[in-house]
Amino acid sequence: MAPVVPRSGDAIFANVERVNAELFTLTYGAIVRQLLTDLEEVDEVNKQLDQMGYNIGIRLIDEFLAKSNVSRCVDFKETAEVIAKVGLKMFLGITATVTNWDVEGTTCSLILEDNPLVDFVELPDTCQGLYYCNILSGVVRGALEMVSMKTEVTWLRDMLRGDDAFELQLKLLKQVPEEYPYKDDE
Amino acid sequence: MITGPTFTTAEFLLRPSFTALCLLCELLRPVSSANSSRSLLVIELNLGIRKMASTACFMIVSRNDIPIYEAEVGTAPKKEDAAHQHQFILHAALDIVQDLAWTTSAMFLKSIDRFNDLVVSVYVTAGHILNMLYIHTRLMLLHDSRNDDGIKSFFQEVHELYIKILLNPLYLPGSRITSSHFDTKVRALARKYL
Repeated sequence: MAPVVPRSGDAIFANVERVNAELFTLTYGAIVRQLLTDLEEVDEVNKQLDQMGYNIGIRLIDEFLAKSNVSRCVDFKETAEVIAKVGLKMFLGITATVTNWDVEGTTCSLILEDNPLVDFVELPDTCQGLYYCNILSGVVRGALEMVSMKTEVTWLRDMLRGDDAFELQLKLLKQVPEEYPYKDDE
Repeated sequence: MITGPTFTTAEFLLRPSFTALCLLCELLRPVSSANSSRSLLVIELNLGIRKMASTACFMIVSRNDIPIYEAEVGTAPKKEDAAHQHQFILHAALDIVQDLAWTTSAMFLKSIDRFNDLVVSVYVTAGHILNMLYIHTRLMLLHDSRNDDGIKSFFQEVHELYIKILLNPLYLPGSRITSSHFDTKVRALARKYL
């Protein structure tokens, strides 16, 4: 069998089914708005969004692996690149740049210049502590956990809070050894 | 309809600069009936005098006639009681807006009411046509300039901005607009068009 070639983010994005960006943005907005009404506390909303993202991420990774033909990454650097160039492109239609690596190569930042989630959004004074896109960090965390990487994902910069870009920090906590009931060579 | 006292000829005579302008306008103006010439004169006079310091009060009124945004966008120096007076005049004009809005499909209703030299123009959003009271919003402008085209453009652009505000998921329709970005943009538009 011919080896499967990993597909580029653009190629996948061109083929997958898409929805109208405004529909997507406003649906997400409605979710956040509802959470704010239900939970009342901004911190609780942040947590809930992260949890929702996690639940999405642990499922989404399957679709990602099925459609992208990406094989095992050799290190965390490659993982970050794949998220930035293939993952984000495939599901959000955007790409990010990976920078700010620390010396051990376990912490990096994804810089998002553009973010379809925040179109039209402006944080009112009452929700200044809100991480509006916290669902994204949850998605990344959930997805990485399913491929045996425990990570901590946090927002460092947020355009809604007046910064010039979105910066998502990925911090690799540990590699969870895989527990297969079988061996690779069998 | 509230109509304030208009200037009388005697008043003009008491103020020399007024009279001069008055005569000038009379000379420049093409022939028209004597009766309408006086009101026309008043308008032209106001234009001449107020050009430097204009009064303009802009307000967005949501359903249930609650004001959700208010801005004094004129260049005239602020007077303490003026803001309340402007609110009062705009509020009084709401009834006329309600009547007029049903008689036309136009969104821009110009000069629906006046008070002394101040005129009320209104831009009604699509809410009343669709009979969706939830988004029934009126953009009201109290102004003393007669620049209808500018006012219309102003309304249209502010309407755009207002739609953007409405699209913000964190904004509750019908609540007060607190966005400073919106405020800055509206004031910039006022400087540009009014």
